[in-house]
Formats: sequence, C-alpha cells, structure tokens
Amino acid sequence: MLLLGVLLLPFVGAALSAFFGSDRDRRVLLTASVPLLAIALLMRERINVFVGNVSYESYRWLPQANLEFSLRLDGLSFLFALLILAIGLLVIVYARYYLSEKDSLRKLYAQLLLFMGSMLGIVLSNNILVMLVFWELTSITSFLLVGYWQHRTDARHGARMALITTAAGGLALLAGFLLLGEAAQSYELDAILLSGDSVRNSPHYSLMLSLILLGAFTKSAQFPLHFWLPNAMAAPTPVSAYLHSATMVKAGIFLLARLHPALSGTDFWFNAVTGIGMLTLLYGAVVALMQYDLKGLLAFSTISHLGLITLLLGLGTPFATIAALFHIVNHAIFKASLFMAAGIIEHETGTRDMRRLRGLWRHMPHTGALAMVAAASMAGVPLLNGFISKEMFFTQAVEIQPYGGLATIIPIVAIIAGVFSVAYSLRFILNVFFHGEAEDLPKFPPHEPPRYMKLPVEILVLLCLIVGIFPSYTVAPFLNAASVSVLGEVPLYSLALWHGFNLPLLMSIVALFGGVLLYRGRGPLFSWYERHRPASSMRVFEIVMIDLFKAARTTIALIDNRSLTRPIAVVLIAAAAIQVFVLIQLPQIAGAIAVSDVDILAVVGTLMLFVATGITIAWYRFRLRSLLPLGVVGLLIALLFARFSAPDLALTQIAVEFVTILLMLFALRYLPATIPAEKIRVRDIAIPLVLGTATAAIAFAIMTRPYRSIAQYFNEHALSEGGGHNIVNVILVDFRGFDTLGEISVLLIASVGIGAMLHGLDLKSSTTPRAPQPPSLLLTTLAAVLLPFALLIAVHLFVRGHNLPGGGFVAGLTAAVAVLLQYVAHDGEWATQRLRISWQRISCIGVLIAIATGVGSWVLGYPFLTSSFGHWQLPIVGDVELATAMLFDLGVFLTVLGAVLRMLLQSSGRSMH
Amino acid sequence: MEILISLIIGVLVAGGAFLLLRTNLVSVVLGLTLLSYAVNVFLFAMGRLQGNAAPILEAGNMSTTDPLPQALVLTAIVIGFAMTAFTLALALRAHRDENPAEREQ
Amino acid sequence: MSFVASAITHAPVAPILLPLLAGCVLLMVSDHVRTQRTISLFSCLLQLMLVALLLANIGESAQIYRLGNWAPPFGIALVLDRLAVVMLFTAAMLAMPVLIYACNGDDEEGRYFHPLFQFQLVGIYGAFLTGDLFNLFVFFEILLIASYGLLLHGSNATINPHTPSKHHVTDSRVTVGIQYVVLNLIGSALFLLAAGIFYGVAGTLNFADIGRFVATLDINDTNAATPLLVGATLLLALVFGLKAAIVPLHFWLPRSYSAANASVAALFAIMSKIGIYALLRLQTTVLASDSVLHDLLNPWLLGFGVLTLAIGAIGAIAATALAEIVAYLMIISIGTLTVALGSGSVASITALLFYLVHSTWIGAAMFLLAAQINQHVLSGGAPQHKRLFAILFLIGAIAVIGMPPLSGFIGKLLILQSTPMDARVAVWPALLLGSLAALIALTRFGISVFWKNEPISAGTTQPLHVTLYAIGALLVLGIAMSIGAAPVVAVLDATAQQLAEAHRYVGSVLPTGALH
Repeated sequence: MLLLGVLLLPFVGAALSAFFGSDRDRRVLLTASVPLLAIALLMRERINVFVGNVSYESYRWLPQANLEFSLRLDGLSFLFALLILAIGLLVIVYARYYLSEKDSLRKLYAQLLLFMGSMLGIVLSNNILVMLVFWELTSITSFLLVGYWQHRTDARHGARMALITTAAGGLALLAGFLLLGEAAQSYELDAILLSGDSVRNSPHYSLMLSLILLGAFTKSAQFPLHFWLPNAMAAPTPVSAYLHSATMVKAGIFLLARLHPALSGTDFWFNAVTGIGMLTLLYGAVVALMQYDLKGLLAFSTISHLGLITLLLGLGTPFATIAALFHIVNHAIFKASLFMAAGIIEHETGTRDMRRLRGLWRHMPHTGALAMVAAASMAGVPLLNGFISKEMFFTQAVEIQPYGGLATIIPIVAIIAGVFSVAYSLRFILNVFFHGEAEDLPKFPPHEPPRYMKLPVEILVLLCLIVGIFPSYTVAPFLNAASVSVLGEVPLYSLALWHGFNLPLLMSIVALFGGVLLYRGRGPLFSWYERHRPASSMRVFEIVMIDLFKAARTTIALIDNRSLTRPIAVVLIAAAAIQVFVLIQLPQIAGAIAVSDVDILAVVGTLMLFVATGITIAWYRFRLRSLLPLGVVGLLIALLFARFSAPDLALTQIAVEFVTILLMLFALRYLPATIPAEKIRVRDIAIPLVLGTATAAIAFAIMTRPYRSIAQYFNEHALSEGGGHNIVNVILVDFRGFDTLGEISVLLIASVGIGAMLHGLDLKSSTTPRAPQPPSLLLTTLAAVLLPFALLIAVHLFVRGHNLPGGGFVAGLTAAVAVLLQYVAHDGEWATQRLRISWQRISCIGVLIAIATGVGSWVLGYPFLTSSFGHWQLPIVGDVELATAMLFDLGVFLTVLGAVLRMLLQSSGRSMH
Repeated sequence: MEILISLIIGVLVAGGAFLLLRTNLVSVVLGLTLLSYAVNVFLFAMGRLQGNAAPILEAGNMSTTDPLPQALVLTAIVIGFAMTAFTLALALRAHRDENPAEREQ
Repeated sequence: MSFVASAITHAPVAPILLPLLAGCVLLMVSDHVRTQRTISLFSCLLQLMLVALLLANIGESAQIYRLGNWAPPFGIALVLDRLAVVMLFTAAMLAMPVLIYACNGDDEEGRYFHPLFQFQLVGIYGAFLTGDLFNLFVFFEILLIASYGLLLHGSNATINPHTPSKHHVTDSRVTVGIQYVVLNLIGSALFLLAAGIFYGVAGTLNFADIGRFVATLDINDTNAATPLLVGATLLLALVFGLKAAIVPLHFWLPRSYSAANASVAALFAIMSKIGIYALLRLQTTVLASDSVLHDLLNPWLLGFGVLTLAIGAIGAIAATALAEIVAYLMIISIGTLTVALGSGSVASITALLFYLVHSTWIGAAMFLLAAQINQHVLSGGAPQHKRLFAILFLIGAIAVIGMPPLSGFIGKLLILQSTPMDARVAVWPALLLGSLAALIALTRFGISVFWKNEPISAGTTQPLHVTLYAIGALLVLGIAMSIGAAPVVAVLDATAQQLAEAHRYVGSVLPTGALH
C-alpha cells in the first residue's frame, strides 16, 4: 500500500486542488504538503532500500494483456522518486513567486501534481506496460504545462512539438516493450531483468532495442531528436526547471538504466547509445554557447549533459554506470537551480536576452552569487558536485579508450565538450552580471526577488556544495543503492574529491583553461555561427507539419473526387472482379444438368426484353420517355415469372410495376425533362460488360447444377401445419412471416422517411407542373365507378391469398391504386375532404396488427408468430377456414395500403397532414 | 431455357450498371430499377426453372417447384419498391435544393 | 408457465419488438414534442434494462428462438449468443445517451425523428439477433431505410428557420444522402445476389446450415460448387465491407457522418460496426473453423485493414472541422477492427470486440462533443464553458487516439498483442502511425480552438444541461472500460471462445443434425 499511496498522492492532490481556496499562500502550503508527505512516506523505506532489498506491490488491472498494476521500490526508483518529489517541492514554492497575479496558480499546480504523479509512476512501476502508461501521461501533462501560457504562439507551437515528438517516441516504445515482453516472456521488470540472455538472443533484439532507444532518445532529447526541448522553453520557468532539466528529460535515461541489465552488453547497444550520446554531448555544448536566450543556453546545456549521461550508460562498465547515475543527480541539482536563477532574472528584469542583460551584480548580488556557484558546478569546477561526476566521466573516457572503435575518440570529445561547457557557463555569469552597467531593461531598476523565491535556489546551491565537498556523507548511500539495483554488484569505488594528480585531473584543468580562452575568443565564433545559423527547428517543424497537412489534403482529394460515380464504379468493379475470380476457379461453367428446351414464345419474349432494355438505356436522358420501355421490361419479367410457375410473383410484379411507374410519373413531373449528354468512357462500357457477362455465367452455372434444398419441407408442411394451399403465401405469412413483418416495416419507414423529407417542400409551385388541367368528368365518373370494383377485387385477392395467388400485399396495392384514382380524378381538394384518413395511421395500425398477431401466440405458450388455424362450419357458407395467418395478412394489407398511398400522395404533391 | 434466363440476367445487369455509372440521379434510379429486376430474376432462378407447376397444393398433388425463392423475391420486390420510392423522393428534394430560385416563383 | 419464465423464453425477440412498437405508437400519438420524447426515452430505457438483464444472465450456450415455432433451417431462428448480447448492449447503451442528447433540440430540426430513431434500433437489434441470411438482409434494409431518413433529418431548412446551423457543413445533407443511399442500394442488390448463390448451391439460408454445408465440401471434388460458394462469400464480404466502410468502400462515411445532425452521427457510430459484426458472423458460421474456406477472408481483411488505417490517418490529418476529423477517426477504427478480424485468433477477436465497444461509445461522444464545441466554443461562449469542454475534449481525445490510460489504449494494446507474427510488419506500423495521425489531427484542432482564441466572454451563455450528461456518460463508459478492463475482457474472451467453437453454434441452432 505504501508505494500505491506515494504514487496516488499527487493525483489525489490534483483532484483536491480545486478546493484549496483562493488564497495563494494557503494553496502553496497545501500543494507543497503533497510531495512532503510522499517524501516522508518514502523515507520510511530507506533502510530497506539501502541494504539492497526490493519491495513489490501488485494490483490487478488486466492480466489478460499482461497489464498488471505492479510497483517496485529499489535503489534506482528510490533515488529517482526522491529527486522527483524533492525538486517538485522546491518548484512548487518557487512557482508561487514566479507567476504573476493574473496567471492561474491553481491550474499550474494541478498540472504539476499530475505530472509529478505520472513521473513517479514511471520510476515506481514494475510492469513495463504500466511504465508506458505513465510515460505517455508525462507527455500529455508536459504538453499542458508547456502550453500553460496558451495565448502565446511559441507556447502553443512548443507544446505541440513536444507532444507529437515524445508521443511518437512513446508509440515506438510501446512496440519495443511488446517485443521485449515477448522475448523475456514477462512484462514484469523483475523477470525481465533476470532474462537478459534470452532478450539479447531474441531474433528481434536489434529491432526491439532500436524502438526502445527511439522512445528513450525522444524523451531525453538526444540528437537528432532533441529539437523539441529548446522550443519547450516557452513553458513557465518553474516548469522548465522541473520537467526539462531535472525530471522528465531524465525519463529516457532512467529507462536506459532500468533496462541496462536486460539490454546492454552488445555491440549494438554500445555503438548506438555511446555514439548518440557522444554526438549529443558535443552538439549541445557547442550550440549552448551560441545562444543569447538564457533559457536557450540552459536548454542546450541540458541536451549536452543528457548526452553525457547517455554516453556513460552506453559504455557499459560498472564505473561508467555509477558515474551516469551520479551525474543524473548532480545535473538535476545544479541545472534546476540555474533555471530558477534564470527565472529570477527574467522576473526582475523582464528579459532573458543576454544581448540586453548586463551588470546585474550591482542590483542583485545575492542571486548572482547563487548563480555563480551553480554555473561553476555546471562547468565542473572543483569543490562542487558537478566536478566529481565529470571527473569520473573523464576517468572512464581514458580507461575505455584502448578498446578502439568509437572509444578511441571519446577522450577528445570529452575535452572539447568540457571546454565548451566551461565557456557557456562563463558566458551565463559574465554576460548577465558583469560587462558594464545594467540599462535598457524592460524593468528597471532590477532588485533582489522576494525572500522565498530565492529559498529553493539557496537549498539547491547548498546541495551543490555539500555533495561536492562531502560526497560520501551525503549522496553515497543513495547512489550506492541505485547502482546495486542497476548493476547487481557494485565494484569498489570512491566518490572522493581528490584522486591525486592524474590524467583526468589534467583533462579538467585543460577544459577549464580552454574554456576561458574560448570564451575570450568567442567573437569570431559567434559571427561564424550567425552566418551558418541552422534554420530554426520550430520553423522547420511547422513547415513539415503544414506540408503534411497539404499532402494529406491532396491525397484525400485525389482519392475522393467528390463524384457519385467513382464509389459506384469501385463497388461494381469489386463485384465484377469477384465473379470473374469465381468463374476462373470453376472447372467448367455448365453443370451436370442438361438445359431445358426453348420454345419460340420464350425467345420472342427474351428478344423483346432486350429491345426494351436497350431502348431504356438509349432514352435515359429523356426522363418521361424512358419510363415506357422500363415498364415494358417490368411486364415482361412478370410474364417470365408466370411462365415459370410463379403466379404470385407475376401478380405482384405487375402491381408493383404499375405503382412504380405511377410514382415515377409523379416525381418526374417536377424534374427537368432532359438531362445533358455526357461523355461515355471506356470504363462505362467495360464494367457493365464484364459484370453482366459474369453474372449471367454464374447464374447459368448454378442453374445447371443439382442442389438439395429445404424446399421439400415447405411443400410437405404448408397445408398440414400452415393451413394453406398457396405455399408461397404460407411461407410469407407463416414460415418466414418474420421477413414479411420486416418488409412491411420497411414500407412504413420508407413512407415516413419520404414524409419527413418532402415535408414543407412546395411541389405545387414547382418548375414545370405539367398538366394543371381541371378534373375531367370522364375521369371522375370512371374513378367513382371503378372504386367499388377495385375494392372488391382487393378483398377477393386478399381472401383467397392463403390458397391461391393473391394475398395481403397485392390486395393492398390494388386498393391503394383505386383510392389514389379518387385523388387524381378530383384533383386533391375534394378527396382530401372526403377521405379524412391519415394513411400513415392506417399503415401503423397494419404493423401493429401484425405484431399483435405474433404476440398472440405467446398466450398459448408458443414463440412469436406461431400460427394456428381451424375449420368452422357456418350456416350457408359452409366450411370456413380461419387462420391467424390471415390476421397477419390483414396487417400486411393495411400497411401496404397506408404506406403506398402516403408515398404516392406525398410525391404527387398532394401531401396529407 | 437456362441460357435465355442467364442472358436476360446478364443484359439487365449490364444495362443497370451502365446507367448507374451516369452522373445524374434519375439515370441512377433507372439503373437501380434494372439492377433490381436482374437480381430478382437471379434469385428466382436459384430455385431452378419449372414450367406449369405453380406451388399451389391441389388435392393429392404435391408441388415440385421450389417455393422459397419465390417468397424471397416477393419480399425483395416490395423492399425494392420502398427503396425506389424513397430514392425518387430524394431526387425531388435534391432538385429543389439545387434550384432554390425556382421556389420563389 | 410463469410470467418470468415466459419473459425469458421470449427475450430474444423482445429487443426487436420493443422499438418497433414504440415507433408505431410514436407515429400515431400526437406530434407534441414532449409526448414524443417521453415515449422514445421510455422505450430506450426499457431496451437498455432488457438488454442489461440479458447481459447479466448471459449463459454458456446460445438461446435459440424459433419464430413461428418452425425448426431451423426451415423457419427463421433468432440466435441469442454471447456475441449478440454484447452487440445489443453496445447498441442500447449507445442509444440511451444519444437520445437524451437529441432531446436538447436536435429532434426538432425535422419531422419524425423519434419514430425513425426507434426504427433504426429495430434494424440494428434485428441484425444482431437473426440467424438467417435473408432475414439479415431484411433487417439491413430496415436499418438502412431508417438511416436514410435520419441522415436527411434536419436537412429541410424550411422547418426551423430560426435554429442556426450547429454544424460546419460543407456538403448539404441531401447531397451526401444521395451517395449514401445509392451505394447502399447497390450493396443491397449484391447482398441478394450473394444470398441467391448461397441458396442455389447450398439450398438453405440459415447461417448454421450454410456453415454445415460448407464444412462438408471436398476441396478435391472438381465438380463441386466450392468456387461458387467462395464467390458468394466474397460478395457478402464486399457488401459488409461497404457497410463497414473499409477502404476503398469508405467514400460515403466521412461525408455523411460529418454532414449529419450530431445525434444522428453519434447513433451511426454503431452503423459501420454492424458491417464488422456481419463479417465476424460470416467468419464464425459460414467459414467456421473446420471448413476448407476457413482462411478465405483473412489475408484480404489484413490487407484492406492496413489500407483503411492508412487512408483514415491521412484523412484525419487533412480534415479541419472536428466532425470531419472524427469521421476519419471512425475510418481508422474500422481499419483497426478489420485488421483484428483478419488476425482470426480468439485473442484477436476478444481484442476486436473490446475495441468495437470502445470505439462505438467514444466515437459517439466525440461526434456529440464536436457539435457542442461548435455551438458553445467556436461561436463564442462563456469562458467556463470553454474550460469544461476543453477537459471533455482532452478526455475524449486521449480515449479516441488510444493513448493511455483510457479504453482506446487497452483496445489497441490487445490488438497489437494478438497480431500474428507474420502480419506484424505491416499491421503494427499502421496501427501506431494511425494513433500518431489521430494525435496530430486532434492536437491541431484542440490547440486552435481551446488555446488560440481567447474566450469571447460577451457571448450569450447558452444553457448546457442534459447534453453534458449524455457526453459525460459516454466518456465515463470509456474510463470504466479501462479501469474495469479485466472483467470486460473476461466477458469478451468468453464470447470469442464461443465463436471459435463453430460446431457449438451449429449444434445449438440445428440440434437435430442433418435434416435435408
């Protein structure tokens, strides 16, 4: 529970921070109590940690994905956790004075606490997937923190750049972790750290390592993935001090140290990690000197130091690793204090530009002294912590040199970087505090900051001194414990200040004097750099982003040309391709069954159908005219159905054809008579040709092959259990009555949809209302006479449907047409007044009847739509069969009647309610 | 006969596809109609062809026709009708939206 | 028979009948908006309770409901197996908040919103429940015709001239509606063609029965109709791919979703998933484990899944309006699901289901959020609204991108882990870069909306009330799916196991063995 408690504290604090009230000092106290409490909790474990014990806690999250919420506390995580909490504490105090009254302290603190928790999660997790979760959380929280001053362009751009870069690294890391987990057969660190051999022998080792390094290097700003860090300096300085020097950028290095036992020890590791580290060390140091923004200088110096640590971890020797861990601590201390000092300077003068700053020593000597000590530590001046770890680095550089290869040049690089770091440290101090009189400052005169704003800097600078002079009494146990957890066994080493006159000391001296000389001769260097200044990474990044957006837009526009035809063509081509593929696979098109004989009537009918289809296509541009051949095609198909034993189909086809043509006539009245000609491309011919041929061939292939179907069952059971002679009708209302229920629902919904769509559309006043003729007497009379007949036919069709061709659907259509005729004949008004019927309501009632019939069978304990029927002897009429299926069919009838009328009337502009 | 039916299906599919590739919505509606004719005949033909054997049970007479495709086609015809009606209405809407000036008349 | 027993017996058909009944009633009662809302909400609440009950009582074996008391394969059977229950719950849990959201005024932009909404649910539930190929066609048609109506909902400007457009509409709803309708009608024709081939060769329409037939196919029998069944299967996959919007069949989705009314777009979050669902059903019945066609679709699904991810990623970056970005994020999620489907293992199906549920709910939340941001932030609003929406947007974005610690990350993690070795080289980069593209797109939008513009405090403070609860509820589901991932995955794993045992599906649907 302890680790979980420590981990959750910042999150809880962030959640509670909404209730901390408006008093800023109270908010500082309450917020600062979070890391204080966490440190207190952690320190209870120090004895355990110092003797090398590892404690675990595990909570269930998603074992199926090996995502267990397991935590560990060993020397390494202990050291890092303390660093995160302690620097966090100081930053919280510092930020209180740094932020102006109009900046929201509440927002900053909440985000800082969230970040603190995420960072603790990285170092405390024992499961690498959980580590990744927190890793990404630090990316998100850092995005928010960098963008704290969201109204500033540089803050927005810097935040975005940092997020995209580090999140991309996080994605690579995810893939790398998955490979690592599979190679180690566990995602738990304790198991992974023990299975170094199987990890290194994994076939995916180099890919895995590359991905993990990509993640680590983006986070720790290694060259050439460092570019986001200088731009993240748009963040408030407390944030820079915390995230971008002390903690978050160390996450990548932490990861390298954490996984050191599992991943290191190969040539790939050595070359990649050392090589990149060396490049970064050198590049950062050189560019840092050229900066004129205080924070820019510190940012590049941070990059350089991160490179130094990476380099050390790449060497792989125990001493190098210890030096790396030590330098992590030292760098955090002196760099955080320098950032804070820079923040104070900015706070008091209103600028961070070293071309404007000078002579501040007279105005703020106290701050100047603090900055000087910290900068000296950065430069590696003896008696300060930075000196010791740098000396260890030089020692390692010398020792590793004989190994050849990359190692050969390490000492040279070390000295050059050392020279530059001395030079930029000098520049930081001399440019700001000396070099003449302070003038031309946005805020003048500058003076010392509030007492408590300096306190965090004082503490950190004091640490620089104490650690630098008495390393064994201060940092040693922490460092030792951390080293044990990385290395397993720690060789004898000493953290002493004095190792006698040796080569490393000589290197330090060379670096110090070289640095002074370099600083004195900086003029030509600066002007050289000005001439060769690389393009601003921000601009490059923005241009890349804009190009990306442009390229994406062009691609999408290329794919989707916003025409209706292209997607249709894609679907048709796909269908044609599938069919052709099938036909190629088929050994022969014709199957085993011989084709049946052709009669002359069928040939004539087929030819007529071809002609009618051809005419439809030829006339497609003339809307009304093309309806005639289309109708002929429909009627011929009805004949086809009739010819091949499907009277119900034939009847339905005729009825539907009639209504469809009617509907089209109505609708086309309001559309232009012709449409412009368009170019016909090869595609327009080729696709139909292939698709038509292939479909025909497949139809033929199936028809000439034998099959066993479930049809026999219907033939046998329709009468005995379905109670009807007309098998098709029994299927529709009984065997597959559910389909029919769906079908009438479609009709109803379509009529509702049409109603919704055409509602309020005044069709009457449309373009070319053809034929606004008055109602003709003949038509009126005819309609009046026809109505009862038509209704009678409808009833007849309905009643006989269960046994003979007919049924509710055809009956409904017939009745609908008859009623429609009344509207047409009387031109609206008359019929609308006489027939005060909501057709929509009728169709709803129809569906409801169908449902009710289905639900009725529940009463008898049968499933939905179970039919029952019986015979009754009635006087005069004789034997009468009544089936629930007929009730269902009544529902069909009413739905069809109502829905079809609603559609027809709405489309003809005779809209009802 | 099977060849004739296959040809009918093929011609209807080809004709439908041709009209579907036109840019005007009303042509597309015509194309859809032809395509649905084709599909209905196709579906119907899957029950194989039988002359003079309507699936209606007379006394002592077992049907030899496969009635299921007929029922399916019936359902398909009705649904197709609903879809055609909707598409036509949509064409009306689209036309009115494209020519808002005419509404003023 | 006691009432409870009877209720359980008829439970499978109830989710279909309930909204159908509600839809009809809604058409018959008064047009008054309060009446309509009350009935509609009540119906959705009942559905949710019913489906939650089904989820709670999820059993080892599937419940088969024989409509008309006809034994399958002769009658139509509904199959209430674990997959159906999971899908039903996903849909019902989506419908409720979306409907609540719609009641803020979206439903008044046109006529018949509530009936169409209910009818849409009829089609969705039916598609999840039916065990019959042709009946699936019918339910597809129901959900399509209802979706046509909903898509065009509010396109009629004359209805409500005073309501300003809440959307950044580039295409008119009618224009995108045409494309949507026509493509789906072609899809329906191809569906019938495929169903016809299945019937013409296998002589049956029941999924289990077709599966049984396919299992008996002898690959060496040259006269056998195996290629024809392959063709039918591929045609069906084409139709389902069109519904799912797998590239290159995706054209309709970005435009129609971004042009639709927000509530409609949010409801449509499940629509493309129905295509994935249908493909999954096809895989686990017709192409069941021991059939010669078993691996027919997998390579295609993997290939097109990667392509879909790529196009979705590019589209998300290219898009500017949030609704459009989210629509392309939908394409990315479809690509993710397709890839998982193509992986074909139990683990990958579990992952697929997790991601499907997540992307349905979160996708819907994002569509609703997009509309609210348009209304309350982009067109000027109170600063406190802006802050609130910024937080909601952040949560939604993290979930939808697949960043830790929310549901999207869990889903993506499961899919990455279950990708077969030989497919990883393409699938992993596609999935990870898809996330990156989503991140880039949403960061760009979020920064320009929430950071760049100072809040216009002068704007009238429009009330937010229920809409926030709806969005919040959907986002909370995403958070809950992450915290409670283990039990969720356990349920989904059991579902995938059940699907993997095809013989059990066939056995429970057709207990009597070979009937014809």
